[in-house]
Amino acid sequence: MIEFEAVEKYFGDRHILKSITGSVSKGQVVVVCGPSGSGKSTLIRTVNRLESIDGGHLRVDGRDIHTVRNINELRSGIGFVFQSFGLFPHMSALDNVMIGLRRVRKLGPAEARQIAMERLAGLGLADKADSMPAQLSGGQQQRVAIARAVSMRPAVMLFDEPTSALDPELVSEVLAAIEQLADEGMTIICVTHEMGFARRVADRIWYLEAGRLLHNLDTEDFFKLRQAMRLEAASS
Amino acid sequence: MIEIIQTYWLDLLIGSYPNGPLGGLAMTMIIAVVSIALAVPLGVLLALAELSPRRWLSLVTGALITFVRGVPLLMFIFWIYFVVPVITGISIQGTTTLIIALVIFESAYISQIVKAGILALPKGQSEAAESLGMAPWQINVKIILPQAIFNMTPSLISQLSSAVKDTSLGYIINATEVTFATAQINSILLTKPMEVFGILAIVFFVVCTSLTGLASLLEKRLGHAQNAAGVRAS
Repeated sequence: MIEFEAVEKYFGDRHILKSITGSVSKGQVVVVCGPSGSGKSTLIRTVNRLESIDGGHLRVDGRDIHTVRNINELRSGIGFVFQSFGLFPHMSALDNVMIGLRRVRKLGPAEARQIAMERLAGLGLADKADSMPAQLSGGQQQRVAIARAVSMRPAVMLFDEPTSALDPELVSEVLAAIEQLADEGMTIICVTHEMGFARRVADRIWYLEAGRLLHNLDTEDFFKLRQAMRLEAASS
Repeated sequence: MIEIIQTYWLDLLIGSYPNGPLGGLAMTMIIAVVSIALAVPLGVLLALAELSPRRWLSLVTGALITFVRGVPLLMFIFWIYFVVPVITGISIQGTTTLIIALVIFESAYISQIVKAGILALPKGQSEAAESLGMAPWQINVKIILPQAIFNMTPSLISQLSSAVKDTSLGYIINATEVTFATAQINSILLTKPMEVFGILAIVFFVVCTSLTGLASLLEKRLGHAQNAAGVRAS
């Protein structure tokens, strides 16, 4: 479904992604983790071309997204959730969810509204449809952002540290929403530091360090390795 | 002074209308408002062109804006009033000249206000819209400009205030605005320039200070709204 093939990325002289190779299959949940500055966010942002790549290939559904002509059409099939929510502050929660359906999917107002309301309701936000983003808590804003992305019926959802900007008590409601999507069989790549969540939800863990994909393991194996490394570190 | 106002208030307000063209303060306000109303869309286009990823468009627009901001308004008035008829054979009436000159002049300044408004928005706004698959023009029209222009309303009102003051240059080319009306009253009375032009000063002061007062009131309101609600913009 998503294939990284020797993907390279530079910011000026800095080598951010070093020959990343890996694939995510349909319905798989991949959690990307690693220390800050390891290139996690850059990696996930290359998938819908918010960042260009400087080498290698990146295919989504067999299409090389860095040479594809109609990037907007491709992007509309890839949901992206930002750390800072990225809601449009001048629109109600409902309008935030509707805008992609109306302007990109070209649906009529009634149909767009119906889909948007269903999505908001599915995330427990039915009564917040007419609220402005500023009237919502961080957790609610992030769930509106998830509803907005999911309403487009994407083939894959990308989450870039979706809970890092939230107060601790609001983290779980957002993680629950992502977990719900995973249960429904959505293909997901999620950058996060929430290792408990990763252990529960992820099928595979990608561990990045200094721009390299150091580990690409089944979740269970990753946590075994992690524990082994901890023990080793503790005993030395 | 009171006596002058009592006698000539109608001339100050509407010029010689209905016996002649509309003038006075009414015309001043019409010229200023019309100019700004036309200059805002033009300024938005200039700002978008200057911020365009197409390098040539950005450079050409930037140069044009720098030129307009680098010369006085009076120069545009002279060019339109005296030079354009020589080149095209079409002579343009004073009031129209003043409006055209103001639109050119103000659109350059407004473009910089709009540009600042666009650049002040968090980068996440356009990225979020791009991620939904929205086209660049849709992102500008639906996401970026509504927020940028809303946030810049106080600056745009201040710009209207400066346009009101700038209309006084129309006196030179016989545009029938309030300065022109005042000068006519002065030449009727002959001996009372201090009172007559004192009235003119008060008129401009009241109008322009009210506008800038309104601008800073809005500024405060917007500031409060933003502080109270994070990034709220409506």
